[in-house]
Amino acid sequence: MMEQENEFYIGWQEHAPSSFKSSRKGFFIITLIVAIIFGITYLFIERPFIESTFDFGNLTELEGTLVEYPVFGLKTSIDDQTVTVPLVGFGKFDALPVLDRIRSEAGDTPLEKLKVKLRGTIIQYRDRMWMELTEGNGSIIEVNTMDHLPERIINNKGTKTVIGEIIDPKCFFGVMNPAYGKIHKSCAIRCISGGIPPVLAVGEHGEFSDYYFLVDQQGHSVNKEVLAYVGIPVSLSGDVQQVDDWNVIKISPGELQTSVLIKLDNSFAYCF
Amino acid sequence: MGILAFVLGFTLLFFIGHIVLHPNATFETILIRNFGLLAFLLLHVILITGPLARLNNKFLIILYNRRHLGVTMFLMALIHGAFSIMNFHSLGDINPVKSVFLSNLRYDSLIHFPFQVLGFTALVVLALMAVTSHDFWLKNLGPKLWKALHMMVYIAYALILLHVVLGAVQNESSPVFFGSILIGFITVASFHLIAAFREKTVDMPIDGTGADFVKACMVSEIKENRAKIITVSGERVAIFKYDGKLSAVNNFCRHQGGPLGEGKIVDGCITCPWHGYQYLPENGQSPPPFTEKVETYQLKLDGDEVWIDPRPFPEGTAVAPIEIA
Ligand code: HEM
Ligand code: FES
Repeated sequence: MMEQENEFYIGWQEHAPSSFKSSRKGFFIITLIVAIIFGITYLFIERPFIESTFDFGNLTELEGTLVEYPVFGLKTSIDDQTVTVPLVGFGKFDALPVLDRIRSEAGDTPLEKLKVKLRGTIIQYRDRMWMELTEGNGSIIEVNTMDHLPERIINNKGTKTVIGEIIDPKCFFGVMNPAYGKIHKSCAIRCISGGIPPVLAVGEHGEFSDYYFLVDQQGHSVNKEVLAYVGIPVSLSGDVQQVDDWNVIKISPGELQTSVLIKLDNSFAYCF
Repeated sequence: MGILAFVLGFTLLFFIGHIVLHPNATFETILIRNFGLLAFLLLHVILITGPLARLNNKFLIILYNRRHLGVTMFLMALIHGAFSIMNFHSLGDINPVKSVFLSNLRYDSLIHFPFQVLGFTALVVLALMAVTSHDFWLKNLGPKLWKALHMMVYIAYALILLHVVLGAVQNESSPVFFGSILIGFITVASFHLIAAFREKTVDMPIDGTGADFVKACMVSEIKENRAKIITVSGERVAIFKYDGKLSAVNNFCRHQGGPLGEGKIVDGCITCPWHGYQYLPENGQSPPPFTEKVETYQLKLDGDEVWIDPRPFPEGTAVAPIEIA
């Protein structure tokens, strides 16, 4: 390499020889071009995001009857359709304190006989709506008693094996996007640990088509018990029930360790 | 200035790109990904500048800016990490930082490994380096320890590679993402290998054990006011030629370990090419009021051949320069 006109430059000097300056400029331009190409490529190869929404900052009032099984929810009518809107709390918590408050306000009246108006933030993905009771007990607008019990549809559908992923529904149906798979796993574990009811979403990579609430044989939501299986492709077997417009799968938490099959994800193939 | 423009430009491109192509992505996701990728890109730039400057000293000018690059990269990583912790771990039933370590417990598995822990550890390493990047710490820790501390950037790089491959890559379907990470790694590794290979062939290590004097080079190989670097008994030594004389000092600048032998004699002083620290060639001492000192070596001439005693004198020992006939 020819020593160019014996140039020498020390970093703090104000004026760098032109050959030093042009190498800095060249390096900067090459870095910029590489970064732009990478950024644009990334945008095009990034996995598409599902069309879920969280109506952050807007509170909506919904009126209906309460359900406790399979999860705490509000049965209400939207566009002439009866839907069950599961209710969750602020942050990574369930809304059970609100349920307790309603119960204490209702006295002896059974929960199913209550007609309530609740205010919260809507979480929605396709035809599935959830609501965050953002204001805690302040979410309770009205509690009235009805003279009849609302109708419920409960169909037993026998034992089934379903393949999918255990997700935290609060994030999945809208609060975060994407909210499944490895990158979301820790968050899902936090949410489910905090009481958000775990849901088995059937399908892979956000292409989910069907949802099952996970409950034990007594019908109670299983949270701590499934934490080790969250955010990975699993196969679960159990008695399936249709409860109104949602599905439920009854599992035996004690047997999870031996009964859950973990499917390996395709994309691992790119790395190993 | 350039760095700021780079960061702002990329962020703008990334956000507008998402609004157009991925309108359903949440703001936090775009933010987390943007700053993670920016930190990752800047880290590659930082890692490449070292060997690049060794291959061609015209790039030393970038090395001088590396501290700004390093601190910027750390800030990007900090925003990324802080938002990730806020998004994924806060408002829950345990302390958010604890949650990083305790939510995914599959430490026994490679593919299910809690990748965020790797990012967190890398961030701690980067923080340690960013905090000690100031010359105050250099003085307090001493250049050798400081240099060792800052070599931890390679540990951070390894942790971040795993953080991305065991995290984000597992959620993407395109092999292009993984491919670009691989290309990045190959680029960084190649630059280091080429620079190391060049240095090895250029300064041909000489085994000086037990010898009084070993042959170092020819006088004609050294340019006026410049040096030739040789490696003798595992130490790199710079032999300078100036005013018809020759002097040898240890090549390791006591500021940040810059290569003195790639410097120049300016106003009678060996001047380090990295930040301009100066040493007198005849005794390896910085001129007062400075106090830095490097080891000196005894030279002798045999015709046109320069010979060196491989045993260094203590830092700052005066050695009479040898006159070139
Ligand atoms: C407290 C420390 C950290 C945490 C909690 C963390 C968390 C995360 C999470 C959750 C993701 C996945 C985000 C997504 O894809 O939506 C991610 C991706 C990533 N992280 Fe980190 N990280 C940390 C530190 C770092 C550091 C220090 C770097 C690099 C300097 C880094 C670089 C990246 C990169 C390049 C990605 C891939 C971006 C993408 O495509 O998603 N992270 N990190
Ligand atoms: S390393 Fe900074 S002046 Fe030598």
